[in-house]
Amino acid sequence: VTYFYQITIDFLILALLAASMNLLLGGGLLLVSQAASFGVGAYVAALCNTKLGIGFIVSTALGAFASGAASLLVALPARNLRGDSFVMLSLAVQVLIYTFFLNAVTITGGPYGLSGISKPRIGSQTIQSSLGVAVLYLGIVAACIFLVNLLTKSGFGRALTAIREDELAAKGLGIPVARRKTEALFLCAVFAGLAGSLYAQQASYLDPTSFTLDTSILIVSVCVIGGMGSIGGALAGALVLTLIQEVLRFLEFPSSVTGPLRLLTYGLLVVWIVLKRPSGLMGKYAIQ
Amino acid sequence: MIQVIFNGLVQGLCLALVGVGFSLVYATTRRVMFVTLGAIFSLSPYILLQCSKLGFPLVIGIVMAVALPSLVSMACEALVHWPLEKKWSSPEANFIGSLGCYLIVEQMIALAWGTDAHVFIQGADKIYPFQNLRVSSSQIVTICSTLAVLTAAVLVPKAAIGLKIRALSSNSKLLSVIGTDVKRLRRMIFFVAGSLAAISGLLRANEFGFSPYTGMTAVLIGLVATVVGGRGSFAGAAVAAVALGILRELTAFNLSAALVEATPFLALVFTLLLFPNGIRGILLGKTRPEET
Repeated sequence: VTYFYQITIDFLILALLAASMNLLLGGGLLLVSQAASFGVGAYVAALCNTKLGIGFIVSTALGAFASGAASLLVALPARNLRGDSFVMLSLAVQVLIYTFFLNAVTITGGPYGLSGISKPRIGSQTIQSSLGVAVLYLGIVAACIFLVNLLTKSGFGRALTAIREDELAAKGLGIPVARRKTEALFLCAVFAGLAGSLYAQQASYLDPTSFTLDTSILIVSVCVIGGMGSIGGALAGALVLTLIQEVLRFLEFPSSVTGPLRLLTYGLLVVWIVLKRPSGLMGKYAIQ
Repeated sequence: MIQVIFNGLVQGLCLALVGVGFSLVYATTRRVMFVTLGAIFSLSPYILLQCSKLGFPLVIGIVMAVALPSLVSMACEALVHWPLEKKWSSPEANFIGSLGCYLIVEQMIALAWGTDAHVFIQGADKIYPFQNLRVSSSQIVTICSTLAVLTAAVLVPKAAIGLKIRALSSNSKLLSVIGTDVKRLRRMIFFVAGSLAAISGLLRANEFGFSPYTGMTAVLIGLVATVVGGRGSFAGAAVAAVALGILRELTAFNLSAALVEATPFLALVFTLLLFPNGIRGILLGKTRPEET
């Protein structure tokens, strides 16, 4: 049963990451540095937790905020880039931040990782059971996804859609394109950082391997499989990927086979979706 | 110091092959960032390993190790990028499709041969002193083969086929109107790019050993070289790759080995923000981004 709760927690975190990514995809911005934002949130929350002994709510908020602030450093110069220049810049950011995680041994523990992170602590209460954590996270993730959904439907979300469809026309209509893009990047990083904070506080141990380029690719593939621009798609994508992982685990192949087989399945799914069903499982618009 | 620069130069030459392959695809298709080349780069040494296990002579092994991955590259074009091209897909769709292919090929390697790192040559290389330099035998192999391939790559554009390639990159519709089989030409380009990556993969494996994941670094540097060199310029990509190779070695020597992976990306950020058209742009005096 504990195992089931753990799967639920993993699913929730993946769903939140995918939902935050969807916010950006709504503006037609594809980026592969999501794992870096995720990592910044995770490390900041973990450091607050271990070194400063701060409780759950403040650590989580700080993690999310730090990730957002870090994204601004990139967003401000990058907002005028478009298409593949933007993808490449995000790639550079991903690799640079990962290198930092790996090498700033005094801060992040480098390849040895950070250990001894305590479970979520609210006031004087520490939530030890997986069930408790799962319920808490379910609440937070549901609230966030609701918020993302509101944002997508608000004037802000519609402005992003306009930018995606025709940037020049959007500019002509008086939408401050660069500013909206920066805001979208910031919000996306805040939610990814939040997901990272949640991840750190249930994992009790962090190391840089969770925040590689592969993780970013995984998040993109969740969005692609689920379908871009819809919250249902993000949930569906995360569900499919979690299910694939668990089914493969259930089949009890040797572990040297399970890992590659899992990624192989994702690859096949992504290619199939791009070719045959560009709107994904339940996306609002297609990858064109 | 000279030794460090020399090592970087050899590394850079080897990476220049991937860079040129990457830039060949990117320049002609104008929308495919062909990251699958990374997996093709990893695949070739495994084929050679398998051939030698099966008892084939070395020459046949090498031919197979270049030809089979090139066919894989062509298959990616035939099965993924060409159908996408027919739908007028965006660069992003092609990028995602290519990432999918990358995952498939890389994980198939891991399934077939495991994820452990391998080496071709056990023990230390033979070292030949040359004035102040110490040159290893695998470095000599790398220099000779890379120069041969790059010379071919420089000469080819002068021939008729090179004209067609350049025509494809400037106006593919017009080219098909005047009767060129664009589909075949594109497959050929993907095949050549695959071969370049495969040769580079073999050379690098010879020097440093290989695992299913070595390809990612290579393709990232190829990608950076394409941008830094100026998109669409093969010579630019080659020069940029050599420069990056030297830069990496200098970083490892003077600063820290940990930063080696980061330097190409600092170069990329610098280039994208200040000189969006890369080395070619600087030479042509066009430092502003082209409107697309």
